[in-house]
Amino acid sequence: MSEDLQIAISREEGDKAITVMRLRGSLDANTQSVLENKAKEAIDGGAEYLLLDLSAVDYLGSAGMRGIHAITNLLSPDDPSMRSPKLKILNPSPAAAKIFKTLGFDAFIDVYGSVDEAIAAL
Amino acid sequence: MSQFLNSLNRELREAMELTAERVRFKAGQAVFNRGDPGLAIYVIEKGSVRVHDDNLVLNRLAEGDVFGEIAGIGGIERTATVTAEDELTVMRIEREALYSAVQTRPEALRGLAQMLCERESGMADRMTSRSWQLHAARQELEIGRGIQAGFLPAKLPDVHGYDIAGHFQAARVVAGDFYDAFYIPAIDRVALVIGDVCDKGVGAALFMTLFRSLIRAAAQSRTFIAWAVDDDPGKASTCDEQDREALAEETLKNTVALTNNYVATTHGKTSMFASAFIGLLDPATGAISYVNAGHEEAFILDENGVRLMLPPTGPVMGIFAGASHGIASARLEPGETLLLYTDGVPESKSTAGEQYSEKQLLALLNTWQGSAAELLQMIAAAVGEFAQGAEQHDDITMLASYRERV
Repeated sequence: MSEDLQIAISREEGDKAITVMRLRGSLDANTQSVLENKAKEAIDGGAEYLLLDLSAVDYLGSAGMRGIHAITNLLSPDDPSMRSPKLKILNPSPAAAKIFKTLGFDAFIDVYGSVDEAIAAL
Repeated sequence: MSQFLNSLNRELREAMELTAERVRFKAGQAVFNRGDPGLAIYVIEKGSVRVHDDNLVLNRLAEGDVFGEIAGIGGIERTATVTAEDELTVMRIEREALYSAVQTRPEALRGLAQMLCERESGMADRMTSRSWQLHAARQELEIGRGIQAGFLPAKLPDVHGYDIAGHFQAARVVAGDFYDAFYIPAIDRVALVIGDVCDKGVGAALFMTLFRSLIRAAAQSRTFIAWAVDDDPGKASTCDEQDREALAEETLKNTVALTNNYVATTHGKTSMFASAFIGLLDPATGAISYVNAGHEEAFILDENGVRLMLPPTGPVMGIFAGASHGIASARLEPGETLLLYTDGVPESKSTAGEQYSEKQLLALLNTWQGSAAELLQMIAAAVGEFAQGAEQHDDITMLASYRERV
């Protein structure tokens, strides 16, 4: 059911290798591998920072959250700290914001209102 | 000459040799892809191929073998992809050319029919072997399910003045959800636990056994150690109430820290985590000390429905090493029930794809009166009725503890 999640990818101009991934649809057990594979491709292609725009995610389940955490492992494989310095979340939809809060991810992965805000904090 | 060609009658073999052209492929090159139109059949002269569907390898073939005959002669779409494993030379026999050659050789037609029947019979044998493998895999899963069932409490604790019930309904053969309830003699508390490992299937099931075991072992550690030293697991329960409450809080803190940090530092790369509610109930007073690690809000119900919600006091366990979890407390009054559940309850889906929702669950709880087991039966029935036979997409797990009126 990978057609239930679409991901638009763009690179930000600037001195840091920042890739923005805009997700649309449902991020769940069926689609988390789609996100992980796209993120892996971006990182293999040189992306050092990933910004995930979750404004158009209408369902985010625990399997989807596992996919998001897997990206922090890909970006910072040797970083033992709990915080994720290289993955940031943009504009979570109400459904996405709710599960971030319930599972406590909001304390470890920063959330921003815009690409500029997120970049300024990197 | 190839084994395959030798198996044909003379006229068909001649017809094939007449129409065959020799084609070469490099290692890794596809001879044809799944979905391509079937135009020809192939006989391997040199090299080998794999027959596959993406990463799933269905068969490997070598010199003298034939492939592509079903779609090639039937003119249907290719049902699988065939890729050269090394330098490959094949004889390519086009259907139309073969038909022309066969027309002037009546015995060749008989040979063609015979060849297809033999191939089909070989395929039937392979299907039987594959269905046997599938059967064996199912049996392994079934064994796994049986073993996993042993990680749920065989019997819930019998606590004077309380009525405790559990409900567990897996979405697949094995599950990532669990509930647990057990008495801890060393601190005179009853542990009430519910957990939900992220994702589904065998991976979630393996982590379910890990989380459940760590929680139970850590929560009972004082008991188990006292047992080894003094032969008396209940000794610590003789200390005064204030000490016991301090011990209960220490037990909670240790249980969550050990479980979280063990999984995060040992298995953190898998990104597998669990949300859990771990409550320690003092049966004498109804006081509950708890940690809610990224789990759904637990409910305390009275005769009017939900009286109190117990929200998360920290993040999920297993991925954030060193995370801190707050300890909160609540009290279960006589006539009230503590209800723990996993998101499979409010997120149950109807055939139309709608969610049961927390709102409907809350409304349902307004109308409830009865025992812990009846409460769970009522919720399971309401969710089942809502789903109306739709495929269950997540485990549905609940634990209820009712404090009887005096």
